[in-house]
Amino acid sequence: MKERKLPRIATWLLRRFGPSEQNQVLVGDLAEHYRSGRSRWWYWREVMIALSVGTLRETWQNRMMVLMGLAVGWLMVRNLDPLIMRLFVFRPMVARVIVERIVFGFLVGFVLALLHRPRHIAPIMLLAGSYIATTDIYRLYSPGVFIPDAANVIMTAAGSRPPMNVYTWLLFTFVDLIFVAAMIWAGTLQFHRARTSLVAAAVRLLIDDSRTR
Amino acid sequence: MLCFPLDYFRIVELMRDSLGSCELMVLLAVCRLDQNAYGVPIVRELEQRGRRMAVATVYAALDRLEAKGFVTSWFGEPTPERGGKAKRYFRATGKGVREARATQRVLTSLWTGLPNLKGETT
Repeated sequence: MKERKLPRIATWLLRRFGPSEQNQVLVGDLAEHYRSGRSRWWYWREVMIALSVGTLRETWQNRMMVLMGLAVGWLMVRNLDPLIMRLFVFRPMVARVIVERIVFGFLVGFVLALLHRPRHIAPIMLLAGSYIATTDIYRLYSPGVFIPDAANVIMTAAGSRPPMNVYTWLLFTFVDLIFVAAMIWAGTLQFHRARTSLVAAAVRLLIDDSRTR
Repeated sequence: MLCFPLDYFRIVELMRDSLGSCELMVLLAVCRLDQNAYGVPIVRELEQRGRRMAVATVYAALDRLEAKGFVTSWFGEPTPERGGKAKRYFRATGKGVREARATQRVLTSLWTGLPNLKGETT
């Protein structure tokens, strides 16, 4: 009998971002359960729950580290973003913004991963969640996104563009999702070997330096 | 010396040193399955008795139970139907069984002689 294949994206997500302590056991359990006749929808639901539960547990177990990671991430988002934006001066504007978002997202994810390995997934996921919540979800309540307010109606009638409508909200959200995806992508890359060798090289250099003195 | 917020978290953890309802159900399922208690049968056992739980939620409860010393775990052999991944088996400890019995006594005494609950049908 042909073995039923697991949903690839969901399995990849679970392997990359699942709870580190019992990831392999969980992947095996879900595979066994799925092959005994469960639906794809069930598998996806289980993976999403596993990711949420894993992130919350790792946050709770390493709360001070996660708080520090969040603080570093938000400091970068608030202070470095305008500086990075100045580095890119080409046109058109949309391409410039998208490239800047990818570079900046990658930088934030890389720094968080470097500082917090091997428990870097929780701060990165929380930063991603809090960023989307405080920008795009908050922006949903801006006048004119879904419910047209009086000012919006008057501006539209007068022929000028409203400050925020569904399309501008979708564009901003798309750009922010690119930033978040780049950040998570950087967090999944295996930098730890390079980091170890860099740290080891620095320590060796310091020891050699102190010996020669 | 207590200092906020670190000790706040410690106090919350200390308060959680008893069995929650979800943990009690998982512990009883482990007791029922005896030698074959790992993720998939535990979830099925709970489902058969009317409680649907996600596999990750069951593992979270099992980890809490293990941290409290109510269950022990060990790894089994990897099998092909699990994609070569090992099973993690669980067994209730004496402390776990005593805690489950104590909880049963409390719950039974609370339920005994309880008149009809108001708002049951709403």
